[in-house]
Order: sequence, then C-alpha cells, then structure tokens
Amino acid sequence: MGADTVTNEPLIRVQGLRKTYVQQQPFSRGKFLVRALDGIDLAIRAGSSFALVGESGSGKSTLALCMARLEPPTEGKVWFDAQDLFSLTGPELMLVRRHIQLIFQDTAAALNPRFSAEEVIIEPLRIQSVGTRAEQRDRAVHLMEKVGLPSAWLSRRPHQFSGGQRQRLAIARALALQPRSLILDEAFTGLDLSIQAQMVALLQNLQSLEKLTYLFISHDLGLMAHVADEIAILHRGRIVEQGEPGRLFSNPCQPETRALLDAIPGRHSALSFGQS
Amino acid sequence: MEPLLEVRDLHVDYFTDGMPPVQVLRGVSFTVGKNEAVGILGESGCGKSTLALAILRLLPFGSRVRGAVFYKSRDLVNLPEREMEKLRGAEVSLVFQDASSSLHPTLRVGTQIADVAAAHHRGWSATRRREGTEAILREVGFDDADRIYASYPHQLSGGQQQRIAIAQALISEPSLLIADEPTSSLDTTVQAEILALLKRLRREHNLALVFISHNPAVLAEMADRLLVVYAGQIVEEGSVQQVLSSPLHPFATALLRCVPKEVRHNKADRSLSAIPGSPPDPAETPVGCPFAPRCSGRMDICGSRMPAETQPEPDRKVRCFKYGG
Repeated sequence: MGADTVTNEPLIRVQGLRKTYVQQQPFSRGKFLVRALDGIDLAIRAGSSFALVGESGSGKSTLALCMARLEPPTEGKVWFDAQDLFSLTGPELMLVRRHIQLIFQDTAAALNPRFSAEEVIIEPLRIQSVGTRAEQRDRAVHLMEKVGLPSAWLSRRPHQFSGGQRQRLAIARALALQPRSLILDEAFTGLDLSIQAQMVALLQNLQSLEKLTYLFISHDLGLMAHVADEIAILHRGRIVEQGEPGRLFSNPCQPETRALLDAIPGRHSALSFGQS
Repeated sequence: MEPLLEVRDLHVDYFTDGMPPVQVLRGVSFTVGKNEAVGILGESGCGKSTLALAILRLLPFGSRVRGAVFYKSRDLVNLPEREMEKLRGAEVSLVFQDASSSLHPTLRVGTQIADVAAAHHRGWSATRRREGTEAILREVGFDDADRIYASYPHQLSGGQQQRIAIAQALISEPSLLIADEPTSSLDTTVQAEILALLKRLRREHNLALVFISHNPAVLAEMADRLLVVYAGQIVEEGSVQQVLSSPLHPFATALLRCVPKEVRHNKADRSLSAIPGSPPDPAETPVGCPFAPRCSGRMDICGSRMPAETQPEPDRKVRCFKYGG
C-alpha cells in the first residue's frame, strides 16, 4: 500500500520485547508462567503496511497491546517515532496516543452501544480537547463521508449499522485525531468476503490520502499477502520468519509459514476463481 | 436417479407485527443427489441459513413456508411433527457456525453426544453408548477420547468444539449433513483441519453434504456442485469447476474478484476488487433484477422486471438478462 509515502525511517520499533503472565492454577496453589511474547524485534517503516500473522495463541494480540502502550511488557522496549513509549508520561504521552489508534475485530463490543455515531466519532476529540463543538461536528460529518457512510446516519446508534458499516464507523473514529498509525487487530475476521474486499479498498485509499502506517494482525496469510508490504510470522511468542509476501509465498523457509500457506482455502483446488 | 433431497419452488416469508412480510426466499429449487456435495454461496442476509432451517422445519415462529421439500420422496413440508422429529438427526443432521452456542455449557461434551445416541439408537445400553461416543470422538480426530468425553465445552478450543458438534451430528448416522458456515469463525489453520475432517467423514460415511458459505475458496475444496444465492433466489447453478472458473452471473463474477488470490506484487494491483453498494434490504420487494443496482453490466431491461432462469449450457442455470433471462 502507498508506495510513494514509504520511507526507510521506522515509525515503530520494537526491541527485545518479552511478556510473561502469571496464571493461577484453578483449585490449587500452583502457579505457572505463560510466556506470551518471547523476544520480539521488529521495525515498521513510516507509511508502510506490516502484518503479524499467526495462529490463535501465538501472541499477536498481546504484541499489539504492548505496541499501543495498553499493556506493559515484562522486558524490552517500544519506540514510536524515536520516543520510548513506556517512559512517556502526561502531555507527551497524550500526544503520542493520538497517533496510535486501534481497530478491533468485534465492533459490536468495541463501540459504546449508548452513543450515537456522532458521539462515537467525536469522543476522542473531546478527550483530547480538540476543536470547538461546531468544529467537532463538522469533522464527524467529514469523517463519515470519508469512510463511505451517509452523514445523515450520525444520529444512529451502533446496533443500527451492519457489521461492515460498523467497521467503517470504527475506522472513522480511529481517524478522528488524524493519527499516523492504525493497529488493526483481526479487523477483517468475521466479515463477509465481499465486505472484506470493500474494507481493503477503503484502507488502501485512506493510506494514500493520509500517509498512514498500518499494523495488521491476522491469521489469514492469503489476505495479508494482499494488503501488507512485509509479513512477520509469529509462533509461540517468537517471530519465526519475516519477509515480503512474494518471498514468503515462493520460498517459505519455516514449517510454521508452510502450515499457514497450506491452510489458505482453495489453494489445492487448482481453480482459477473467475480468471479464465 | 431419484435425488436424495429435492427442494421445489421454496418461498419463506417472515412476519413481524404491523410490518409487511419480508420475503427471505423467493422460489428456490434444487436437488441433492446421494453422496453429492452441494455448495451454497452467498453474502450475509441472502437467505442461505433460512434455507438450511426451512429444510428441517426449524424456522422460528412467525415465518411462512410455501413450496415443497422432498427427502427420499417424503414430503417434509407436510410431514407430521412426530415423524419430522424422527427424521431430524437420523436422516438429516445440521452443524452450525458457532459451536460454542450450540453446545450446552454445563454438560460434559461426552454426555451431550451420548444423549443424541440415546435418542437415535434405542437399543443401545449405557456401556454401548459410551463406547459409541468414544469411537466417534476418535473418528473426529481426538486421540484422547477419554479425557475429551469428560470435558466441558469451555475447556475446549473453537476448533475442538466444532469437532464435538460434528461428532454429535454424525453419531445418529444420517445420510445428509447440512453445514452452515461451519468454519467461518475459525482460524485459517483450524479451518483447514475441519475441512479435511469433513471431507474424510463424507467419504467414510457416504454422506451427502449441503455446505453453506460466503467464501468461494472454501466451497472450491468442499463442493461438487454450486448454487449461488442472491436476495433469496438462486442466480447461478453449475459444477464447482464451471461456476468458479468461468462464472456467468455478474454477482458470481464480482464475488470471485473478492477472493484474495496470489500475492500482490505492486501498489497498482487492484485485482482484489470490491462489489460496490450493499445487498438489498430483504424487506423491500425488488422491481427488476435485485443485483442491478450493483451490477457493472447493467442494461435498461434490468430495472424493469425480474430475469427468468435460463440454461445457457447443459447442467448450468443462470438468472440474468445477458443470457436471455
């Protein structure tokens, strides 16, 4: 995505990240350690699209939470635009938070059901005290149009939107503060194929317009090959392989990568899907 | 040859207080042969799941079914409820998308499978039921059938829960399995495992399969024949090879462009292209072809009346004015 805006400067850098959870064993005094992340190093260039791909339980979402500074790591560092995320406090932290926005899989749960679409979109502006009430409202109208929703729907509540429309609303909210990066945690999962394709097109357009950096988190290697410039395969808290999609598909080096490639539906059916 | 299942001009309407009826299925006809796997492809809200429920007469109160459903020449629409109860499971089983909500949360999964065995194999002793349940657990891929038998649904992963649902559906030895998006909420790797399992079970049990999905790539693996559903109608029918390699209906063509194919090599590659607009609201009765507002090959006639079904090639049907309609 967005070739013209890609630079070599990393916007987000992760070094030696470890995250260990202590889990209490049920009905006993035993405790055990869950090593969710086991030494992660990665760098995401500004304006590029990076995908973390792995099975359930591979640590993808934990890594996203650490990179969004929502979960402190046990060890290691995360830099955003050369600032150490976990040493920031107060107004500096507030400013950085604007630039790291999250989109989740389950928008029905992520959006406050008692808010109207307008309140959903302008809540980040209110929290960060950006603009007057009238400016916030204008921005909401503008954002609805930008994500392809009629601005007349600003008074509707999230449950009145379909799954795909709710995901658009979540994107509008995420863009409210004009962020530099979006973290999309399984944002396509659970959507119909046709809606998924619409979301991909919307995100591609937004990236070239807004010079956004994307971090996708997904279990679907086939789809990620379409949206990402670089893919890291995560397995049991470690990155086992990383590279451009073309290289991973033509020459996968690790068994975990091959397993994810084999799992792409239709790969064994030798059908061309409407290409003939 | 006599088909196993025949659906003839099936209409389903939903009634809500004070609202005009919502036509969810508008005249659907198809057959499923013995041992055949038929894939049903369509977007959310097109009526796919309603079709599965209508076949087994499991639709909620407030729905009206017109048309005919024959299973082994028995008329399911007019079968007495007691007979229908015997047929469900014994002849036709159903697997849903969300196994966690179709399993009882506070009963051991083994017990839940054994209960199905008790309902369908009246002569089985408790020991025989236990053995039968453990055998089917091994068959759906659990090596430690003992431990799984005693587990509760929440102790199992999504993929394991779906295996339990499949075991439950198959212990009654049906001839037809209807699977409604059985892998849509699973990881791709787990999805691949479940698809491989269903393929093996189908072969070993001589099962006919109706597989419902929004994903053509999944159906490419599972189906022999494909029905494409749009706004409650079958808009295209043919072999899986025909429909997926050279689709006729503009909706099928557009949906196939949504499948992520090979790697995207450059930024200008827009081979993954979205269908503009959204599916029609089932509450509104369309004038003309329901796909017309989203169709790139739209003609004047498309907005005037509904296209009829034509047969442009042998064993292939399509509902579009481009082919005579």
